[in-house]
Amino acid sequence: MNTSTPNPVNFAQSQTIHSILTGQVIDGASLETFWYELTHGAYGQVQKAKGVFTLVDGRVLQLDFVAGLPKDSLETIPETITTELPLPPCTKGRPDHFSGLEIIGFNLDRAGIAQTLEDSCLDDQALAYYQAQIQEQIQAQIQQ
Amino acid sequence: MKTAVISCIHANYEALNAVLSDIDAQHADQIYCLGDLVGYGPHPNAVVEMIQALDIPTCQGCWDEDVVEGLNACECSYPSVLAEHRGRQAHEWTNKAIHPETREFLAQLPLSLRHENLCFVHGSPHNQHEYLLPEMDDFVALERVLATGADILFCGHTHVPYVRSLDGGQLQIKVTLPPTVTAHKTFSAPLKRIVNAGSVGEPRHGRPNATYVIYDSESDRVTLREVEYDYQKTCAAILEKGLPAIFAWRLAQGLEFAERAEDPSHICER
Repeated sequence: MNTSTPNPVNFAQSQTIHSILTGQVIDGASLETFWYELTHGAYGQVQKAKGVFTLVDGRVLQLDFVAGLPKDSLETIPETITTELPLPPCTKGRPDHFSGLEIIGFNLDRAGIAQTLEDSCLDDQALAYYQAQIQEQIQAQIQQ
Repeated sequence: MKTAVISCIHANYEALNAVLSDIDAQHADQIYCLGDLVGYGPHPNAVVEMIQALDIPTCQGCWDEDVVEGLNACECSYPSVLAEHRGRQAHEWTNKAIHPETREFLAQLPLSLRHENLCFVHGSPHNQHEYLLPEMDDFVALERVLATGADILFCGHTHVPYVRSLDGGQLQIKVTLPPTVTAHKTFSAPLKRIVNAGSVGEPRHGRPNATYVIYDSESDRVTLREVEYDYQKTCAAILEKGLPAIFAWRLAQGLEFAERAEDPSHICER
């Protein structure tokens, strides 16, 4: 919880956080919650955030956030643009393609961000459980 | 007679105090509470002591049950891995913080309460964990009210207040007794209502204000009340007591801490 309001054009005050998440798998609902909190001030004043995340269903999403786009002139452009990357879906084991997060902002709560990310990623047991379900669904679709 | 119905206080003493003052100002004759006295918030013992001191009839919520029985719900309780982590953190903190007498009080709470043609439950008449959402299928919603024998079913659990009228309900029943007897029966259900009281301590309507309802039996009117309170005090207590800081941020935004209904028709399999 940060209450000070730094000057957004004073780059000397800005912070950058990088986090490599390669091998991590996140569930979609957790990512939705985390991204909402991140871009609405829960962990400090975020100016830009870009992340590449592997979801439990194997898709790889790129999320791109820029704060403060003037809504009156650019209201058709959402502050977060989500793009599904054209990578083969990983539905077995842990992915080896890159995933990670970069954040630029002020008064960033590094520990809070790390904790939420850690709590959002699946451990080996949960990953195996969900991937087994997805494999079953794929098999059922093939048989149909 | 004016009946105030409160629910889902979630250990938020400041919110409870503000709502009780508002109930007093509205000249309510009686108060019923739909449970979830504890969980997520920083003052579980103080909230229970207040409810006990005022002798408010209270039914048991899902959080009250979890603190007594331990976390044994199926995975339905949480919509995400993150929500489950946070829910477990809140449960563990609450479990350590509450006094034995608080736990005893929560253990003896009934699952439902009746007063004349009114029924009071936390989630649904079938289960504290079931969500009666406003968009729930008409037939299922009507069945839930009919199951109680009451005209108005008061519930909480979703944290979003609403009033739903179920009128013009027609039910057809076919009973087959082998080998030859088959009976058909059709009957009309009179007007029934489901009233969700919202949440005193953990609102999910995008503002931090507490919500509750007042039912006036003379005018047959339900009024949804939204009460401002000093939520920053609760946020400060969340931080001071060592609960996750994100709980304070979410409370200030009027967002749920962790739980919400994913599948409203799902009933927890314990």
